[in-house]
Amino acid sequence: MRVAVADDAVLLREGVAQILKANGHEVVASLGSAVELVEQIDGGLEVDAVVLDIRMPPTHTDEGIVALEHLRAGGFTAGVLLLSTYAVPAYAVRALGSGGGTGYLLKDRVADSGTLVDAVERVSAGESVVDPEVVSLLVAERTRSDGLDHLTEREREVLTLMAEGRSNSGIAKALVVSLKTVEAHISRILAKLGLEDSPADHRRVLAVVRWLEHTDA
Amino acid sequence: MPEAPARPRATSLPRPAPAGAGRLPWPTRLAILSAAALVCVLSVVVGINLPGIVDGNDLPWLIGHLAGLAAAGLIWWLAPSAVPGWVVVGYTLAETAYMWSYGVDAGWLWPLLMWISVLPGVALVWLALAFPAGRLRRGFDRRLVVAATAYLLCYATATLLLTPEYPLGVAHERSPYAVFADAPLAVLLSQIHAGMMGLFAAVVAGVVLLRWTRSSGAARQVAFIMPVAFVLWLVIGVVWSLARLGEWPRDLRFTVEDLNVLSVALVPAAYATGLIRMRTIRARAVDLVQTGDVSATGHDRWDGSVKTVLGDRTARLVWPGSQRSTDSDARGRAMSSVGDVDAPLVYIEHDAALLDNPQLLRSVSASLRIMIDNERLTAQLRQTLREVNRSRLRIVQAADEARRRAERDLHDGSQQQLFSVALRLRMASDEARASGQLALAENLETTIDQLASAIKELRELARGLHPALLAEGGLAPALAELGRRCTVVTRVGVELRERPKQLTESTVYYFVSECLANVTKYSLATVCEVSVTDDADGRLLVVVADDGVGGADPAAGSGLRGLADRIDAVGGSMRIESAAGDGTVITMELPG
Repeated sequence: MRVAVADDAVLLREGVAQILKANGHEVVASLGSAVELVEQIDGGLEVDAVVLDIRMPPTHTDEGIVALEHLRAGGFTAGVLLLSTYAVPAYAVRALGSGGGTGYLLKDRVADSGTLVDAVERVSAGESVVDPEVVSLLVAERTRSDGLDHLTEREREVLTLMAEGRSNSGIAKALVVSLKTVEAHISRILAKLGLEDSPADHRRVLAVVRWLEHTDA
Repeated sequence: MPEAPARPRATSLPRPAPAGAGRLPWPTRLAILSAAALVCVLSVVVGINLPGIVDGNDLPWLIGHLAGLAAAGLIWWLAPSAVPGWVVVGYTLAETAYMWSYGVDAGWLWPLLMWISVLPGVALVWLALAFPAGRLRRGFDRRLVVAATAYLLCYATATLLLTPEYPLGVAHERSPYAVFADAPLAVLLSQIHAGMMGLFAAVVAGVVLLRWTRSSGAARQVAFIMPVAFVLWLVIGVVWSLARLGEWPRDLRFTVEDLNVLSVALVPAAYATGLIRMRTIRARAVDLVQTGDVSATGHDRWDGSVKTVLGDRTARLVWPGSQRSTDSDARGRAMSSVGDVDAPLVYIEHDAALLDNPQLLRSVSASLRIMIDNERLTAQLRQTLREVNRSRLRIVQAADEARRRAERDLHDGSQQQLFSVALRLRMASDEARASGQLALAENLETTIDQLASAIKELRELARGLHPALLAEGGLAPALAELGRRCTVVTRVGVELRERPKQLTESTVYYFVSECLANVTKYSLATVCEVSVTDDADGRLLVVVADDGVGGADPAAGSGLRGLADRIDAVGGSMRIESAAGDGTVITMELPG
C-alpha cells in the first residue's frame, strides 16, 4: 500500500513512516506541510492512503482538515487518516463529513503501532475511524444531557463501537457476539435514535457521530 | 554672558499680614475707642457750661465725633493695617480740642488746645490720599501731606504767639504765650488761613477727583466713595466759610454750621465705607471658580470672568511663554503673578489702580491658582488613567500572547517529541517481543503507559493555556467544547453578527471557562446555560446561568476576581446574581 505522510514534526513523521514500512507499506512521500501534500497529489502522486496532521504551519489551526476538504472536492478518494493532538469532536465531524474513507485519531495512538496501522488500512478500504476518546467524550456528554436512557447497556456499547467506525463484523468481534446479534442491535439503535441506516458504512458513522455531537438537527 | 531671558515685570502681591500682626487686639481697640468717646462727650459737656458761645450746636458736634470714632472702629476691623484707624482716632480727638478750648479758662491751657485744634486738617489730607491702601504710594502725595503739616504747624504756632485772648471774646485768662500779641494781625491771619485751607482742600479734592476720572472702571469701583466724600466735605467747608464771613440769615447760618460740624465724620466714614465695598467685591472672586469652569476648553474662557470680578475691562490673563502685547508695559498697567513669583502659573495684567486693593487681587489670584491647579491635575489624572488603562490592556494582551505562544511551543515541541518517543519505545518493545526478550518488552510497555499518562497531563495543561479550537473556529466551537467537558449538562448558544477581536474572544473564553469550573465545583446544578450575543454596536453580552444552590460569593472565587481585573482592562463589566437557593447568573458585558 502506498502511503503519504504529512506532519510538521519531523521525528514523529519519520516514526510513523517507519512503523508503516515495518508493516509492509510503502511510504511514497514524507512531507512537512499540508500545502506540499496537496501539491504532490494534484501533481499526480498516486497513493492509497494519507496520514495527515491537522495543525500545521502556516496558521497552526486546521490546515489538515482544510487540505482534506480540498482534496475531496477534487475527487480524491483514497483513505485519509487525520492526526490530532487534542480530541476535538467538531473536527471529527468535519473530517467525516468530507466523505470517503476518513479517520480522526489522537496522536497518542501512534505509540500503539497496531492501532495506527489498522486505522490506515481501514481508511484506505473506505471505512471511517473515530478515536475512542472522542467517542467516549461524546457519549459521556450525551448521557449527561439525555441520559441515553432509551438505550440498553449493550446498545450503548454497540453505539460506541459504531461511532468509532467499526464495521458490523468488527463490532461482533469486539463484543464476542454473532454478526446477526450485532445487526439486530444496530437496527434497534438506529430506530431509537431516529437515524436511517445507510448502505455505506461511513455514512452511518457520520450520522451517529453527528447525532452524538448534537449537530444532527 | 548671555542675557537672562526677559521675564514680565510682575508685581508680587504683598503677602497678607499674619493674623494679629499690624492689628490691635480687640480689647485694646475697644478701650481706646471708649476712652476717646468719653473725651468727646466730656468736651461737649464742658462746652455746655458756657452757653451762648457755641450757638447750641453741641449735639451735632457729639454726633460727628462719635461717628468718626465708629468709623475708626470699622477701619480697624476691616483694614489690614492699624495706621488709618489711629489717624481717624487722632483726628477726632484733635477735633475735640476746639470744644475743650471753649470750656477751659486756664490761660496756660486754652491756647495750647487751640493750637492742637488747627492740626486735624492734615489727617483728612492723609486719609483722602492714602485711601484705600492705608499708605501714601506717590511722592506727590507725601509732599502734599508734608507741606500741609508744615503749614499748619507754622500757622498754629503763629496764632499761638499772636493771640492774647480768645478770638470770640470769651472770658478766658490771657494767653501767656502771646509774646507778639497783635489781635488785628491774628484776625487777618485767620482769614488768610481760611483761604489756605480752602486751597489745600481744593488741591486734594482736585487730585482725588482727577485720579478718579482718569482711572479705569476698576479704580472707580474701588475708590469712588472717597472723592465724593472729600468734595462734599470741601463744599460744606467753603459754604461754612462764606456763611461765617458774610451776613447770612441766622437760621441758614446755623444749618450750615451744623452741617459743617457733622461733616467732620464724612471722610473717616467714607474711608470705612470704601473698605466695606472692597470686601464685597472680594467676595466675588469666588464667582470666578464657579463661572470659570462652565464654558468650553481653552484658557481664554477665564478672561471674561477675571474682567468681571476685578471690575476692570482691560484686565486679561497673560500665560507664561505667550506673546505679550506692548501695552502691558504702559503706564497705569500692572502685572500680578499667580502662584509662585519665580515660576508663576499665569500673570494678571490689569489697571495699576487695582494695586490699591491687594486683597481683591490676592483673592482672584488664589481662585485662579485653584482653578489652574485643578484643571492641570484633572488633565494629569485623566492622562495617567488613560495610560494606566492602556498599559493594563497591553499587559492582558501580552499575557494572552504569552499563553498562546506557550501552548504552541508545547504543541510543536514537547508534545510532538513525546509522541515520537512513545512511538520509538513501542517499536523497540515490539522488536524485543519479536526476538523473545519478553522481560524487556514488558518493561518498555510499562514505560509507554507512564509516558501516555504524562502526555495526557501535558495535553490538559496546554489546553488550559489556550484552546487551539478558539483561534481556528472562534467562540462557538470553543465554548461548545467547554460545555461538553463540563460535568453539568451545559447548553451553549453563541449568536454573533460578526467575529469579535481576538482579545475579546479569549476574554469570553476564559470567563466561560472559569464560570463553568465554578458551576462544576460549587453549584450542585443540574443544568447550565451559556449564551453569547452581540448588539448592533458590537457590544458583547455573555450570560452563564445555572439552577444550582446559588449563594456564590464573588470575593471567595479568586478565579472570578482575577477575571474581573481582566474584564476591567478590556473595558467590560461583570455582574453576579446569586441568591441562596436560587441559582447563579453571571453576566459579562464587553465593548465591541
